[in-house]
Amino acid sequence: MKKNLRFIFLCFFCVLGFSYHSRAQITERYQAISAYIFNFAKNVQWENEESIKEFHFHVLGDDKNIIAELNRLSQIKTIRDKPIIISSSKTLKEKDIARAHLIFVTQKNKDLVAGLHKKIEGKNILLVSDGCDDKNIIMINFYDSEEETLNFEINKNNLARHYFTVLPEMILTGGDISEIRDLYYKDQQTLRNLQQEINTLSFTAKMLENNLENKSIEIKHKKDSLNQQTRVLQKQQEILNEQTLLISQQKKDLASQQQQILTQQRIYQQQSRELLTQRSSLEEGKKLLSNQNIEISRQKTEIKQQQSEIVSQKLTLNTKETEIARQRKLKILFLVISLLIAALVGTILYAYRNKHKLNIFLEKKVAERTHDYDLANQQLQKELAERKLAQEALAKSEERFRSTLDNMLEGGQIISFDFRYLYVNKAVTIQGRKKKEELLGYTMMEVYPGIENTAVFPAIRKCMKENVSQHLINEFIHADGSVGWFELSIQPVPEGVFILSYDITQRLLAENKIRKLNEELEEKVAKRTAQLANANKELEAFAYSVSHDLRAPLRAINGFSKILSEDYAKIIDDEGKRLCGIIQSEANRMGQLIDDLLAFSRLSRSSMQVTLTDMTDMVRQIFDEAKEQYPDNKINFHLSELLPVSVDANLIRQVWINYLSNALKFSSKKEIIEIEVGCYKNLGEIIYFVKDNGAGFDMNYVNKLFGVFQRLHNINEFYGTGVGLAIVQRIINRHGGKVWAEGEVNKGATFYFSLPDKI
Amino acid sequence: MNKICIDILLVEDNPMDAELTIRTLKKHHLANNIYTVTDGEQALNYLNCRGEFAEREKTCPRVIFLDIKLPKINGLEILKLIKANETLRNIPIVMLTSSAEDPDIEAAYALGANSYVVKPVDINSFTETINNLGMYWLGINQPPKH
Repeated sequence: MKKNLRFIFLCFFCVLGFSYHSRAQITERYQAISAYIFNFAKNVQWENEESIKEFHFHVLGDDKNIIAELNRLSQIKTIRDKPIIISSSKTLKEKDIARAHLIFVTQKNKDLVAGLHKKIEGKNILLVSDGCDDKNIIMINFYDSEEETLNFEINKNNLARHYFTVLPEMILTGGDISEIRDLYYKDQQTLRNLQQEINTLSFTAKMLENNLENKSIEIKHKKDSLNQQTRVLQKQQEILNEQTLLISQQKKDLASQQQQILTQQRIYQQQSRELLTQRSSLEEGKKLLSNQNIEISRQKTEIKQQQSEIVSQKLTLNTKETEIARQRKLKILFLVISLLIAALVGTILYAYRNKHKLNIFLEKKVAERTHDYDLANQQLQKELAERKLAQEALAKSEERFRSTLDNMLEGGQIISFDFRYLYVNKAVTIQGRKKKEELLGYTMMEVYPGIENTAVFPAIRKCMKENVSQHLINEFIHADGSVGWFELSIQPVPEGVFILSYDITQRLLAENKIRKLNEELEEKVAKRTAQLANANKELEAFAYSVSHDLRAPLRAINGFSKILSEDYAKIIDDEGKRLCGIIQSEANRMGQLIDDLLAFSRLSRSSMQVTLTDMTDMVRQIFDEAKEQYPDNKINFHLSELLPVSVDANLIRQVWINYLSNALKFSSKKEIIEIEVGCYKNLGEIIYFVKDNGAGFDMNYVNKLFGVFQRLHNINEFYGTGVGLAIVQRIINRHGGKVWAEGEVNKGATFYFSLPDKI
Repeated sequence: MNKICIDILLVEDNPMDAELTIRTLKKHHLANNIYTVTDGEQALNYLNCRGEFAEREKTCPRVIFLDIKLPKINGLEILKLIKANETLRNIPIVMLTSSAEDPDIEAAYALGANSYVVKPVDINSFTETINNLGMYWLGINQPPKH
């Protein structure tokens, strides 16, 4: 029983299944057709699809299932997002044709296809037929294959003729649903395969991405290491640059010190020159002295001449005296003769007593003779008178010469051949410190014992012997031990020798003094230069230690305040950092002040090297460099041709740098900077000036301008330590010039310096 | 301390300058092995491992930074003594001093100094110089083998 029941149930279910299957088959056909119709509509393109707002499907026939299915599908689906309207009719009307886009002819009405085909000739209407036999008139046609499956066929030409384009998605050969399902499954499979491939590709893509990332990271690392290496190289370059800078600085220091050495050598040379000039002046004094000596000798020769004249006149006197004696004798003779003649006359008178004529003749003769004798007498008397006059004149001239001799400065003495003083003048008594009475008549040895051992005696002897004049300088020791120096000129005279002596004690003493003074001077000069050199060295050492020892604590102040502000930046607020900044800036400023002071003091120690300097070129160079600090200002620079002058080029360069940089600095707030540089001559000086149109200054404070650390402006208005103009003044003063300035507040200032005009 | 081979022996009597130097080197990680002595005698004792450093293992620093102005023995004297010592003469010596005087420079080189560096006054230049010195002598320069 149970076995039978089970069999019956199986059969029943099989039949059910079959019927479902077949029903499914039968039901599927209209579903399939409807689905296909929608697919066709999707997969073809009407001509003017954009103008179509809704698609009309018209069913020609009364297949209710298809119509219902189409309606159902039209609710769900759209074609190109546009709604679908389904309509149906049993017969075809014109209005249906006009508005329809797609006409489906049911299987029962397949005979109507031909007539419909004609009606829709040339129209953009899709004709879907079912079971039509005429393949030429169909567009899309359903048919059943031998296996009872639903297929469709497409006439592409008709479609084209009716302006349809077939999209590739259209399944060109129809098949049954199972085939479609298979296709679908195949497509799904291919989709899955594709997706798998996509997955693998994406995976490989990710792997590649990872690889790329890793490699990019590697590249980054390598770039970093390269950067580090370049940085190291840069730092090396910086080190090299700094070293070259240090070397150039050291070279500059060397050069400057060499220059200093040269300038000091120049100082020494100058001082030696001064010594030479002093020596030359001394020599001039000596020359003067020698000139005086020459004059003295000239006077001596004159005196000698006068002496010889005196001697000759004495001779003439003597001759005249002898003549007078002779003439006296003649007179006596004449007297005797006259007496005799008188006797004769007497006798003649006696004789004349006898002869008168003879008497008269004789008287005449006697008269003549007496007349002659009278004349001779007169002449004799005249001559006597003349002789007297001459004698008086002689006596006068003798007196004159005697007084001259006696009163002249030089000592004149006549020594006899036996060394006795025959004549001494006043000067001799003064020189020898003996009175005339003590000298005259005495021998030299008696008056000055020991004199025969001096050099005078041999000279006198030689003069006496050889009759040659001698000249010597004799050292004479007085009785009281004092020493005198005399210049002696010994002349031979008939009586013995004439010694002319000149007291040169003072002169020699003066000469000795001068020599000693000279030596002392040289010693003093040497000492002074040594002192100066010492002082210089001390100042150098002082300056060095100032700069070195004062700077070390500055460095510590600067460094540690910097460390404070950097390492403790987190716990120091902004105000604290500002205070640290002030500490650092003030320490730097102190360093700047030290440098300026040192430069200022170094100025007066360095020696000057004077050369002829081209001022115009120097000013141009300095200005071109200085104006680069002010790239934003418009600068009008007027430089007239400047006269060249002999100065120390380095020091004057400093002067120009200070003046020009001041002019620029104090004019920097004006829009247009006007600077003029020129020069003019005045009374043996050349005056150079720098004129600017800057802040100027109050003339009331003009005296403070050139003082050390003196400023007329706030440090915030214009930066500066106040040493620049003091340096300028020092330099110009060393050159023998002057500095001054004129100015007016906010209108500008003109700064001058003068230099002696010598080349 | 005994076994560490130091890089820099700093001979500097001014503690401020020494501290600034060490801090600067520390900022650039160059001051790991730096030893400071405050006078020449200590320096010589250190190098020769005698006196207070008798326990020290005999290793040589890679470079010596030597100041000239030192108490007791002058820096140039130290230089002379080190260069006269057979074992120590190869150590590079950098004169690190405030003196820029030519006689000092000449004397240092004449005695065999390997380098002469003037300590700048300005703190920025100072730190830069110390950095450059550290990087050069510890990074770029090859020390002699000991």
